[in-house]
Amino acid sequence: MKTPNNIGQHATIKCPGCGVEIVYYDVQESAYYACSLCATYFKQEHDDPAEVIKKFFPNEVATPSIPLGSTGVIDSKTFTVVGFLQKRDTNHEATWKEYLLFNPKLDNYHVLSEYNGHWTLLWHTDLSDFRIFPAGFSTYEIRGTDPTRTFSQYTTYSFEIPWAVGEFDWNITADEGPHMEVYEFIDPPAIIVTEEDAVKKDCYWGKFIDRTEVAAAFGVSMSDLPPKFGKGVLEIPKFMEQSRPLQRFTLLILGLIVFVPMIISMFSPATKIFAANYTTSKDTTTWSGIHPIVSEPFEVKKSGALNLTFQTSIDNDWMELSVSLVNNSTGKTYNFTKVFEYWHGYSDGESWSEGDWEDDASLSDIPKGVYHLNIYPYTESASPINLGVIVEQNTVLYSNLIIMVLLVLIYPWILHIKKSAHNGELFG
Amino acid sequence: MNYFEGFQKIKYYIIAVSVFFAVYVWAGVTGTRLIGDDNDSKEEPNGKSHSSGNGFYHK
Repeated sequence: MKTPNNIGQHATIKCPGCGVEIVYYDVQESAYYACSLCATYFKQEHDDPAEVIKKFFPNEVATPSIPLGSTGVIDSKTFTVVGFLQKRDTNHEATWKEYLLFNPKLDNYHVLSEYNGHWTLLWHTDLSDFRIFPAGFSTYEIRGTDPTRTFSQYTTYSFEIPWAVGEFDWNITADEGPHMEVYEFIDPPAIIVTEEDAVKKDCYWGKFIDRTEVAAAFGVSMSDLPPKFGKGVLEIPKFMEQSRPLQRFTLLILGLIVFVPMIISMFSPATKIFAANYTTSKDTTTWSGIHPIVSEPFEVKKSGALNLTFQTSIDNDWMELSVSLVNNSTGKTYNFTKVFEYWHGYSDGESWSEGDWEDDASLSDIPKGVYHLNIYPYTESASPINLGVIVEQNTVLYSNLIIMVLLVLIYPWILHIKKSAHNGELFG
Repeated sequence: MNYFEGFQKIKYYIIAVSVFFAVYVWAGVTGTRLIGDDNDSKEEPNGKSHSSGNGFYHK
């Protein structure tokens, strides 16, 4: 028979199995009790006689890491640990522990769930708060949250309860067995758990809670809590915390990378400073057999990059150009070589072509001044070849843009690979 | 939401990218190609330069 002991927020009830006095805290609602001494699980409501439902097996004893009756503050709410269950997945043999947290001002228990040293805080929620809609393979959209969130289905299972101690306001053993299906949807660090059978459907919101926070809340030492083993499903690895700010920063910097050349071009637009056309001619006095070409002088008005474009008239032929850009005042030269090949034909009913008759060269950091070009053509063509030359200053160096984009994307790419590997481990 | 929220978590990446960006802006302003300049002249200690060409003829 229940006998409230009038000492405030708890009362006692006698175990029908061994007679020990069991302290309970939810004086108004608790109706089911599990004795830690003799493993008797019984029901007693109001002044009714106790009704023994079952006995848990002594070889299934599990000791709670947080003692029953402990009080602690989580999320600014004070809770008392009033019940403890060890649950087992009926299909996969995984076991986990749940601590029922009672606060007289709340309608329902909060639950601290612990699996392999990883902790989750769960609380009951009204299904009318949101709706779960399929949004793809194992993906669900939760509407009603702000903002709308996408969760992935993590697992589904039925469970049994091999051990329990404490008090409960519902028959915990009625949830055991295949008739009760549990679904877990995750969007780390959040989780949604639904429990449904033919009669009812309950829904719980949850979130990852660090074991240090659990220890601090209930005044237990870290060594009293189970050690962490493996990866926690809801625990966001440090590198994943970087994911969203990294996305935002990368977009910002990519925008600036594109914007900078545009601004530079506005103040120093690309300008053609020289253009000429030449035709090669034989010269037996030179080693190449072709007379070198010397251009008229032209002025580079501003230090910077030059782009030299060469267009030839080669046709199924090749030509090599050795080019020197010579500063008329200092004599300093900037040299490069370009090889042109262009071949084309018709074979098996199809036209084909290979190579190009034009190419360009970039010379960077050219000081302003007056320059001319010395061009040394070499070809085995018997016919003269036309050669067009265009020199442009303040040319946009797109190679720098590409290099910068690649550098910026290195770390986001590494993070993407790590994230894919992490999700692969979670979801198999 | 503050656009810069969470940037503290990637501060080293931001510092590194900022250095790259500063070099990129400098290269753009001075017209310096970071990789792949076609100039294959090599400066020698006596101030003369040579290249892979076959001598030069100039005015």
